[in-house]
Amino acid sequence: MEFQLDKIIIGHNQFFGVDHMSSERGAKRAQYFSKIKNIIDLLHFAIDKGATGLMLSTHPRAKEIAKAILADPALKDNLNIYILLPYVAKYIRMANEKGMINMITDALKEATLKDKIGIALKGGVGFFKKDQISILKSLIDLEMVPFRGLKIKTVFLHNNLTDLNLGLGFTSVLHFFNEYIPQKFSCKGGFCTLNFDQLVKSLSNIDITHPVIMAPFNGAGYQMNPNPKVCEETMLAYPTHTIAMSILAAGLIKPAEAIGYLKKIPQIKSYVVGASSHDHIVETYTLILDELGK
Amino acid sequence: MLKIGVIGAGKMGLLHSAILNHNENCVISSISEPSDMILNSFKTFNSKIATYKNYEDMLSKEDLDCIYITSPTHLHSEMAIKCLEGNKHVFLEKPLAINCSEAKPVLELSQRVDRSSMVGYMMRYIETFEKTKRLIDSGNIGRIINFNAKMQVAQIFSKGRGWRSDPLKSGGGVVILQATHLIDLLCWYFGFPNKVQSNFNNYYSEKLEDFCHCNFIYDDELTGSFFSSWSIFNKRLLETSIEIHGTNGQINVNDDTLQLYVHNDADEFKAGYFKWTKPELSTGVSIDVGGTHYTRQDNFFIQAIKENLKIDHDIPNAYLVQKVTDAVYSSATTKDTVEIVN
Repeated sequence: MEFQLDKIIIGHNQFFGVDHMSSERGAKRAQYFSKIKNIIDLLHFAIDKGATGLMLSTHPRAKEIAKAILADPALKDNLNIYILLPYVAKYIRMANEKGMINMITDALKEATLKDKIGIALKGGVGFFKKDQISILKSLIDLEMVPFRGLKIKTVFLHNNLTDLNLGLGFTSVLHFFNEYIPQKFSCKGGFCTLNFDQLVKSLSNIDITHPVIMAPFNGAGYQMNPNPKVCEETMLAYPTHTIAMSILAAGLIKPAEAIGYLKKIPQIKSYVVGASSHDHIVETYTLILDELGK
Repeated sequence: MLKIGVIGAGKMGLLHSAILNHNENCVISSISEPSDMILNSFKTFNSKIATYKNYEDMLSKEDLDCIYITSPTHLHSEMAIKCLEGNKHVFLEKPLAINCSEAKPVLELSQRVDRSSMVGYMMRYIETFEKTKRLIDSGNIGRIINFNAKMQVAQIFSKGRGWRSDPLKSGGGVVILQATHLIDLLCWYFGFPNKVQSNFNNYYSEKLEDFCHCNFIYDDELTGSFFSSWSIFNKRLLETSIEIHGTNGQINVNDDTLQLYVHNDADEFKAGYFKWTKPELSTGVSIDVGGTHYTRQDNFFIQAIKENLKIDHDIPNAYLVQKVTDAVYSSATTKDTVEIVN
């Protein structure tokens, strides 16, 4: 059967206090969603309004959310989970605190302690220094621990890492990720990016066709690098499975305007939408289902 | 095509390399980095970039036009001098050095050689802060009489490890590693203060300051202050906010939003409130790796080298920022107001 993305994927930013328009508003939401019950109630409401997917980053609180979903059959059975890894903010903080090398070494030590995830390690951390792919495998396996048992549809590489590898010309890392995820976790591997055009072309150059991509598409052109026109042309020229994100341009544009723009790009069949409040869910989800096809 | 070498492929070195690799006017031809783990990654994943364990080997073997120095701060001075002596254009990550006495030989040499330099004060390229500079300079809110600034993040809640937590290598704590960005921004906006008065608190770090309050004292009627800490709970990302009071209005700016209040009509602004958000101020870039401001900064540096443009945050300017930073430390130690002699 052909791979199909969920039409509406619930975004996760509001649960973790991320708000690109206002950090103050983000902090308020984080406070509200610090109660797991508020998150679960909101997920039920979103499903009721037509959402079938949920984006989850490997945020420290994701484990708690995953546990609550597993304990709730209605959520467990009705939500396809999209994982975004790694939780970059944590690693940046660790790198600032103890240096990048210490950060990687410590993370690897942690990975080796979790023998239950099946990391075969011979000769300690030193072994990894010679084998870059083993390092990557261990770090991915470690990040995936909290999500065991969930119905995972795609595991995305965080845009910071996708774009860093893209920038450095490390496309073989992207190739590895695309192969490793299906092999190990029986789901698709995908790429979150703020450089849709360059990424799709680079992936095509290494024979990754029909990649699963999550990238900003919005009428304001926000984060559509190098510019919206080029992104739209690339979308037409290359077959992809794309999830549009930042469809409201961090709150700059209203849902009706956002949908008007997305209507012009029928190649996009999936949208990740924040779920900050009941009103917001009703407004955007209804518009998407009515205007962008069932 | 400018050939670039990068010294120190840690977090910032990788970020700049990824950006410059996509600038059509330059090419990353080599990196030097003591860690095998990083060197092996380059060897495995992009063999077009030559790798060196020692930066002096790189400088002698590669024919480079420009060097990005993104190593720990205590190494900046020695490395910058070697690069400038080799007649290279130099980009240095902030701060210039661990203190003024280390920075001085770099300043003097940079003034003798005809090469471009830039110090990585990237906040000047964040859309909201960039527009704030234009608004201040336009005079629409009148003469600036007061400012209050804040820069905070949740990062350090225990004694750190690595070079950043060793004051001999970093030069200090939150002031030199984080607030130096804010000090640069405030000096860019309002000019260099004549005196500073500061106090520190080091609750979490044994030898480094975790909290800093500082007053900037100017000769005229302007007064201002900033607070900075890396030990603030629940601030998952670095947050910077500045409140600016002028004789004809007010500006409230942070990383995401810029609000302007104009008291009496001024140029295109009718008396009243105006607001801009980051998405509406932002424009696309060649590649976005961790923030468009980094891309705009690096692309401007390459353009400035090519077209011989003036760079505001060059080594001489960063030296003045370093003088203010040194005075902040000196004031906290002596518990007295410290004059900044120019």
